[in-house]
Amino acid sequence: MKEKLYGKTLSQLRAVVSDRGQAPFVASQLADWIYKKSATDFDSMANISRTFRAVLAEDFDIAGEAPAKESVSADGTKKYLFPTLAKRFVEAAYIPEEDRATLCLSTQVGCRMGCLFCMTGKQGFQGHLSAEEILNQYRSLPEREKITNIVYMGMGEPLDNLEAVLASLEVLTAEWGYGMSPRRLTVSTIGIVPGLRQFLERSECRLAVSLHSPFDEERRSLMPVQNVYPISEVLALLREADIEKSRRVSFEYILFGGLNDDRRHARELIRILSGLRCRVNLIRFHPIPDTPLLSSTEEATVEFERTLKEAGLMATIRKSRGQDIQAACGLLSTKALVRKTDEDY
Amino acid sequence: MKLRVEGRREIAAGVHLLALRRGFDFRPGQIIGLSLDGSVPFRWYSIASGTEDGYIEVVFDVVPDGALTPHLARAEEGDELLVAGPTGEFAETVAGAAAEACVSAGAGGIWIATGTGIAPFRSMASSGLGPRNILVHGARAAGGFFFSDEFAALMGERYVRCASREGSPGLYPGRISAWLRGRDRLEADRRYLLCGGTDMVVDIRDILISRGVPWANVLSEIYF
Repeated sequence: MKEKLYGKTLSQLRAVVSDRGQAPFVASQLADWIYKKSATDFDSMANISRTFRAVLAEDFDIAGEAPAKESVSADGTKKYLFPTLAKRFVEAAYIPEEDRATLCLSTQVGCRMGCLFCMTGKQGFQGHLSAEEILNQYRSLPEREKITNIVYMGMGEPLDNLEAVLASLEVLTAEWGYGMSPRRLTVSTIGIVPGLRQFLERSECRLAVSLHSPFDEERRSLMPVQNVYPISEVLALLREADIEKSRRVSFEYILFGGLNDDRRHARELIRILSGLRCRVNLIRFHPIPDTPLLSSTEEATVEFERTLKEAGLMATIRKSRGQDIQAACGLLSTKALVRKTDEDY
Repeated sequence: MKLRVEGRREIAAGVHLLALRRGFDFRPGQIIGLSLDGSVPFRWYSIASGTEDGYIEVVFDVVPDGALTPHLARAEEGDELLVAGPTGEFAETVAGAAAEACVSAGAGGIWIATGTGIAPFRSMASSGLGPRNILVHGARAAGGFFFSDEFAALMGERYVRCASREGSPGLYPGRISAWLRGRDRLEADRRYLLCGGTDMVVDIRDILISRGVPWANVLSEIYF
């Protein structure tokens, strides 16, 4: 199979052309064709010599992968199933609103973080996506021209696939790439500290941290990552990085009925976030099969938001979108398409 | 900090036990980061030795194209490695308030591991935390039950080995999931500690919860 040229950063394209005896500016021409002019074959690249185009065509492929399936929600949200090179599948969600259109894309096939409340986590981990596969969810989206925002909140933990995610962000934000503002891109993480440190140093995109409980013991049961990277370390890193000066940081907080939606949790959340200029996104839990967790009531959700706001925290209740097609937060999964391999358990 | 390699041995094909000079105290269940020289990010490993041992041990699988483990697999006594930590809170699940409540109620914990996920439990058992706990280890065949002699000595009949592929005398013939399903009931007041790959943790956790174990009593350490 030919290597994919799409998804490469400018420095990677320079290496490609340099290895083949071409001047560095040819890499810029290639980037222009691939990302700005959306070329899907080499023949159209008129300012690149015919000979070199033939060389590239011999070694590389730039065609995209169209979605294999589309589901449409009553609220206009669409869910797309994208194939990957390893013949696996990931899902992406297109979420249109009045003033914006957001693409929620995936970074891994499955996820190895094992969060108790997440449908993707239930399918286990089948592999990382390459930068090309991450970006293909944008490039091959039928509504691509309408996209104003991209959130890395689909399947997988982005900072567990750091290099591919950073490369994809570079392509999306660079002048030679798609030229999107970093403020339009948000990477969501459960808080893998070394990856987060790298992300803060190497990207200007916005950050969302999945918090879900301010209490260590409880968070450990919900999110095994707490055993390795406690939320206190994540918050310390954000404070150390003085993050609010450079970008917006938000905390995702799924409200589980009778578990983390009372005043005690709200007060502790306020305490641990004190001094950080941030936003808290309150998310209603979308029950997944066999879950022991419950959704919070409307009253508890509103009360929780009010408590945070009274303490001066910026808090919003996120609208639930695409629940009828399993496209809402925490519901993306391609488990049904996973072939089980050998197990020791 | 840099720590001296005190020894390394291959305990199964592609699985190594690495001993480092002891440079700090730790709690059983904690992890340390290893790196050759800091040029590649630390990789994190559960400590596999006891708190009173004179060295710190980790168990690792060699990832053939990995940035670290092929080098670790060639480490020799006297080499130095960059070490971060110890960190992590899996230990707290053994010693925390909820765990103490389980113990005071007369119920020990149930430790469940596959492959090199056995490491934190070796640390716990070697640190005297074995009594009243049950250890269930899953592997394909007899050769995959690392440290089985030690666990047999420390835990006796509370050490269960589930062989998913090749049975042998003394091994439960089947997966951990089958062993769990075969029990009349799973005690809800016990603490279930899981360590291994995501698929195992997610599947076993689902089984435990479906059998009435409160989700808050299931604590997991996942390799990533």
